[in-house]
Amino acid sequence: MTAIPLALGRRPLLPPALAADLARHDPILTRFAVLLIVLMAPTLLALSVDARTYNGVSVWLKPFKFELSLALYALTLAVFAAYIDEHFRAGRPYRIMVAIVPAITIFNLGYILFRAARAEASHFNRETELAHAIYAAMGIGATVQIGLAILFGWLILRSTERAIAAPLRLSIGLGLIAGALLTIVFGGYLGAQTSHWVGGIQDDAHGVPFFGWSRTGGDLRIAHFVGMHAMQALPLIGLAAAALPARPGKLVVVAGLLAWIGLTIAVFVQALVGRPLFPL
Amino acid sequence: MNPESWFDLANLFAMIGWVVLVAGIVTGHAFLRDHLAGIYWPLAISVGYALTIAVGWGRGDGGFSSLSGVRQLFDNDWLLLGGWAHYLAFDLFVGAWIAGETARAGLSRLVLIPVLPFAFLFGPVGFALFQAIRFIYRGEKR
Repeated sequence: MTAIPLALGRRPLLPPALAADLARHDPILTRFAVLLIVLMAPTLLALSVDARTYNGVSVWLKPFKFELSLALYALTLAVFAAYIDEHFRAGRPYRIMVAIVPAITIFNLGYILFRAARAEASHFNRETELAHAIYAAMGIGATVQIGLAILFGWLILRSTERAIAAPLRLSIGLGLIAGALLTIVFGGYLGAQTSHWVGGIQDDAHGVPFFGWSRTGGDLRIAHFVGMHAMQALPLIGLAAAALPARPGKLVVVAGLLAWIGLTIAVFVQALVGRPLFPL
Repeated sequence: MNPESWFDLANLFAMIGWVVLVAGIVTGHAFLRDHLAGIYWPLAISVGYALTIAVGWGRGDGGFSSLSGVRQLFDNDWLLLGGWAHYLAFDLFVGAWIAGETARAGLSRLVLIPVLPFAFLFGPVGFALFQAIRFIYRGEKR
């Protein structure tokens, strides 16, 4: 059952091939993304009525950002699931993979919301043994959850069921795999520290609006962000490269991948030496 | 018997109700889950509730129109016991309903592993969690 509108009356909103692919989105991951987006509304309401802050910004900003990010992740997997073999999607292993996303997200996001309501830290909170244990569990959960994207990417690369341009298929598969690996590496490093700052003024109020990235010192979240969004950036490159013949198109995608990895490393090193990306 | 002793009895009774519920879930016996745990047990607690209200009502100050009014109401141990019985009865009812709905919706019983403990300890949270999972899996056989 498709929940995404593909036509407005008799005028198709999208080219038929793309519309057909979108109709094959994963319904469970899509509905989960919808749930997260709906959750953003009360979170926004809380943000506007609750005056409490943490690290200089509203306690509800972090949950809001995570809801948005996790909704995008679920939606990304949901849409790219169209390119996994139908036979595999009907099987048990796939259903388990799909179930893992809401299961882990509800645990992680639930804890983040719980802590936010108390104006306490969720990440980096090692104050008690329980807090430390839950934080570690969050890390394992997040790793497993993003690791699923590697499986998705690999399944997409070896599937030939849907006829899409080779550069686009390559970009989706590589984007998922690289995005996941970059997140695990740089997010993992970030998670092992005591905070996301390296020098500078250590609160989010003096950082970039919304993101809170430090403008006075290094911020390890930037590399985490850039690495993660390879999953969306690379397919965009692939979409453009699809206009080219297969071989040069695929080369463009690989070049884009290397450039994105380079960019991630660059912002990571910049943060490591305590330099802000957007100085004051 | 005083309210404290009735409290202990009520807790024990409700606990057994939850054990009956889990037995019904694990064995797949709909009678245990939907009728015994889901209706008769909460019904029994409801009778106890009615008695506590009959004994305690109007014997002190307070009302339902403000938080401090409710606090005053619960200064009366019989009414406090009643409030607790209300919570015991309905949390069990909702827990059994969730378990029944899980079966009726064709969802895996594994869902109850995180959901039911929340329903037991923090009723409305278990209810909300169940609704979220039901929404995510609407129309699918898990």
